[in-house]
Amino acid sequence: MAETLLDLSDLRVTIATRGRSGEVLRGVQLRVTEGRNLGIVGESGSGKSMTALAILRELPLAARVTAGRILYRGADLLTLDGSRLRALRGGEIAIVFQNAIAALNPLLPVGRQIADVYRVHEKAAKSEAWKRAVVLLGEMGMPDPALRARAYPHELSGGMAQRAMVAMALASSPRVLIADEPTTGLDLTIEAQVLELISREAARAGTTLILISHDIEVVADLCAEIAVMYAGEVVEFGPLADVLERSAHPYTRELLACSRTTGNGGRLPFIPGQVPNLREPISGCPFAPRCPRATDFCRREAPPAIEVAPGHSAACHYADEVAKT
Amino acid sequence: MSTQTDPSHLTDTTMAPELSGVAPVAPPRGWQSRRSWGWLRWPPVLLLIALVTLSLLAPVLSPYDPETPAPADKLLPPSSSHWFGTDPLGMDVFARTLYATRTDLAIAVLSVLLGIAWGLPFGALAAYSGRFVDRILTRFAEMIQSFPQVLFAMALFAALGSNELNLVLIIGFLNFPVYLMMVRSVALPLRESEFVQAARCLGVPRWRIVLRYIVPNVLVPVFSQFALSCAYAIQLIAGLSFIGLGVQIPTPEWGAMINQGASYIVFGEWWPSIFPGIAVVLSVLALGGIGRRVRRALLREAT
Repeated sequence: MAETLLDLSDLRVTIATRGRSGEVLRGVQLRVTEGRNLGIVGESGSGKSMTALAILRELPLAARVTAGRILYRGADLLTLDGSRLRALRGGEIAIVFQNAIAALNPLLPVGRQIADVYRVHEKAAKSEAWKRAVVLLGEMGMPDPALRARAYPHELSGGMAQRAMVAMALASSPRVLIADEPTTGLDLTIEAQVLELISREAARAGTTLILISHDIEVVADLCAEIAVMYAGEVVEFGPLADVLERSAHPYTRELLACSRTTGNGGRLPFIPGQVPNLREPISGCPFAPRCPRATDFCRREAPPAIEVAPGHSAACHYADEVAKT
Repeated sequence: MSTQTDPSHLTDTTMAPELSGVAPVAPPRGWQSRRSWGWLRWPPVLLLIALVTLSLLAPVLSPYDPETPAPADKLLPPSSSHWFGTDPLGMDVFARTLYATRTDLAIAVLSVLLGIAWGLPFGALAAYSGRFVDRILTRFAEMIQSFPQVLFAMALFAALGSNELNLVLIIGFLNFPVYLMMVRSVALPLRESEFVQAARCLGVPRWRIVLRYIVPNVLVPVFSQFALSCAYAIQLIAGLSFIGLGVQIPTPEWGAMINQGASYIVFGEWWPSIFPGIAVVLSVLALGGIGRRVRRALLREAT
């Protein structure tokens, strides 16, 4: 039986700016099982990155967790003390950011940065950590890794920098790797390479991947489970095949319809309407204003998560009906 | 447009990632060309080099010892044997003015370095820690800065005693808040920058983030301020020595020399004060000019 690595329940995060506050995560439910890569998809502002930052306890200063729990192998992350948190970050849960060049220290050779992470967690000697960094860079497909390790971030191309960043994140073989849109800003050919690299190396290190993306296709290629986020909630969660073939939430259906019709020429498909403004209280289902099936009941009552199949749930009053169509 | 376009764009980095990585590890383009020696021709730099060279060559240029009084020769006007004349104790003003360059520049540089040595780590710490530590450190810096500098220095001299070491310590102490606040202001946005966040997220400990990620990235603005701080420090050193604090006669120092000769100016014996005065003006002009140029060059680069 595979172990549950991360278990988020009813996670609520509020951001307060100049007296106005908005709830950016409105009760997130997620479960990450060892060995089953999880993909998180959703539009911009749906709370994907915020969830990742909350797991690492790296929320912006203005943000506050108001309710909920984040359990990592049974231990509550929200109450960890400083030294345990540092051991966890990078050692157990690591992250790869969107823009690798900005996420690397401009004044330190990349090899040193990789070695630093390795040293912190493995208590290794300096020279040993350096050797490990060179090996890691080589495994990431970096040509001439011994030379590359001495390069500064600005001397690398975007794809190279992202490889270095992945090497850094995987330096001490964490159990969970969060990849927060790791390929935005890279062009298509490199995007495919980097994604392939991340999933391959994560699998080799025994690391479970959480891949955050706005592109449901990318997630479909690499993940076993999928969570669809909308307006700070997980609206649908389940095994990849179930969610794609028997989507139980209208939002997931719309997303899939959009991604399936691209490439046919003509206009880019989109979901009519806008993401709700999280500064204002939302009554009923957040997707109701854009939902083709919405009823008065939807606009009044927020839907609970309904389990439509074992391990497959959706936050829609009509989930069962949607799943059957 | 030239017809001989560079073919290198055909093997563009975006198309062949594996190839692009093989580009030789070299400093980025533009860096090499910027490391020219043109700055050596800036007038303030030439002036500073001249001052330093003269002070180093002082034993060669003047046969007189700067600290040996010769009562028989006191207050001689400038002549071929005493180019700048002699002071009320009969010491050669030319020799003393040159040797004083060493005193003043050394004290200025040491005290500013001392200010940086304290201001840099504490400024980075204030910015990185935030909240309580930040508030304590910035309030402390503002407290020091709210005293009039000369008055504050006088009070410290009264408490610590007047000698050269204390002069370095006190001017260093006065520079500390300047650098603390400056480093803090540069480091604050760095704390939220992506690479610091990434390091934090991968478990790099706080002290290592401050030392390896924050401090190196604030060195450029800090050292652009260095020359300007030295210029201010020289004015302060001369000013304090003028009122009898810090460096004492017979040690050669411009402020003390000006003071020593001041009461003789009304009798027409202007030389013991005027020459060190000119030296102060020239050194402040040189350092101030360098400081302003460096700052302007950095601003140009930033925009």
